[in-house]
Amino acid sequence: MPVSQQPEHQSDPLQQLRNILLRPEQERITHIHNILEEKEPLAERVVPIIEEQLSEFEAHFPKAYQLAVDRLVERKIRESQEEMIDMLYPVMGTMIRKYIAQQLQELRESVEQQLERSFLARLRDRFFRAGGVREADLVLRNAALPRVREAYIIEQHSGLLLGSASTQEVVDKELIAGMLTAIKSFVVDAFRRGTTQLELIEYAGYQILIRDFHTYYVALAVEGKMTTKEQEQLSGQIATFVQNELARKIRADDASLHLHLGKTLKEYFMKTTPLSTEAIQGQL
Amino acid sequence: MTSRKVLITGSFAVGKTSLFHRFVYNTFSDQYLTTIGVKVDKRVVDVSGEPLSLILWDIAGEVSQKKVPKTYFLGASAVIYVFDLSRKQTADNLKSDLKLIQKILPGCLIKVVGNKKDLVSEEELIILERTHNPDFLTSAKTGENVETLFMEIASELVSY
Ligand SMILES: Nc1nc2c(ncn2[C@@H]2O[C@H](COP(=O)(O)OP(=O)(O)O)[C@@H](O)[C@H]2O)c(=O)[nH]1
Ligand SMILES: [Mg+2]
Repeated sequence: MPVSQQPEHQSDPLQQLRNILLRPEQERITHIHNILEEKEPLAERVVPIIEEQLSEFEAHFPKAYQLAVDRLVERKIRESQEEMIDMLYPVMGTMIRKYIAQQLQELRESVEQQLERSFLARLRDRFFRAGGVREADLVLRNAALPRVREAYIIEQHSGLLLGSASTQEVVDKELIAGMLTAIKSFVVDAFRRGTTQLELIEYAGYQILIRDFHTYYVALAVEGKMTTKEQEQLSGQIATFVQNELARKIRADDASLHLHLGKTLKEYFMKTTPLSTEAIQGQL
Repeated sequence: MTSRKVLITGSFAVGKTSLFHRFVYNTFSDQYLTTIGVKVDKRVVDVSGEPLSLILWDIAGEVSQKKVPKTYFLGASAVIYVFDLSRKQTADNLKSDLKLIQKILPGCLIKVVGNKKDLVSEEELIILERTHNPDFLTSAKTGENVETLFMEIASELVSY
């Protein structure tokens, strides 16, 4: 706008000059003003920035807090280590046993298949049909079926009794628990075979089957002689027992634990009639 | 019932087995001691109206000889360390043995006992007490202080 066309604003040539010089700035201010005043143009500009920040936060949140969470979990495990291991031990044992059992089963099946294919199969059939050996064997074994007479859950090292059950009068269960533990550590120390543990003690007409867990072990006094298969079967029963009844905090002074174990040991190991009925049936 | 493992140790022939014999009713034959190096006994005592079962482990051999496996010590709530008042050399390893026990069983109750009190004179006793600072002076032969020793351990274990 030429200066000469506005004579009435003569006193304001400065304003005019300002208008001319600052027009682009004024236009920009109006534009910005519009953006700030109206929601949509504002959102268009701000939202991407917030979104970017958010995704950055999301991406780095785990990193920043993982350490803290890790420490917390670590501490928890450290503080209740025994408890955790006691809970994991039987589960791991069962897994390993299942795996081995499955491997054995596969082996057996493959052997059987081979037998099936061979002429030996016919021979075997004839042999078993004739009765004889196997049946006699069965009769003999039935007469002396192994029975669990006493069952103990004992704290490692201290040898303190955590729980027990028996079908007969016993000298003193606490003493037996202590002596068993002493004998056990003697064997481990005397033969120093790494992590090998004492698993079976034979005494008079008894076999004492021992299965170790982390802070305690299970000992079953069995009358009669067990076959390897029966020992395996009993081990399985022990693992089931431990998994079901001992997945809790274990303290030697816990009277309710003693009661619970006394009752459940009887149910698991002493109610059932001869242990090997099942084993024998499995073989047939 | 609450139970605690209590172990007795010290040099050969200081009277460990005799001290236990004084205190417990013997269940198992001492044959076990020579064959497996350890024997377990038990006595139930009364501590302020509550029964406490003391499971006592007697071991053959000595701590310092490294003959006694660490496993025997594990899980013990109290250790009785015995030396023979009539044979000074049985206290020679006292300090290092106690250190070893404390290392194996941190926080465990340890009682040092000078046994065979009946064999030494009052004058000798005073000197021995000053040098070795035992917690108890006993005689497994006369029975002097034996009951006191175990009862004190029992009550300390309850309040431990
Ligand atoms: N005079 C006396 N003899 C004792 C005493 N205690 C044990 N003895 C004897 O010392 C010998 C060793 O005792 P023992 O208990 O077998 O010692 P350990 O090897 O430490 O178990 C035995 O002949 C005991 O009769 C005691 O207090 N006084
Ligand atoms: Mg002895």
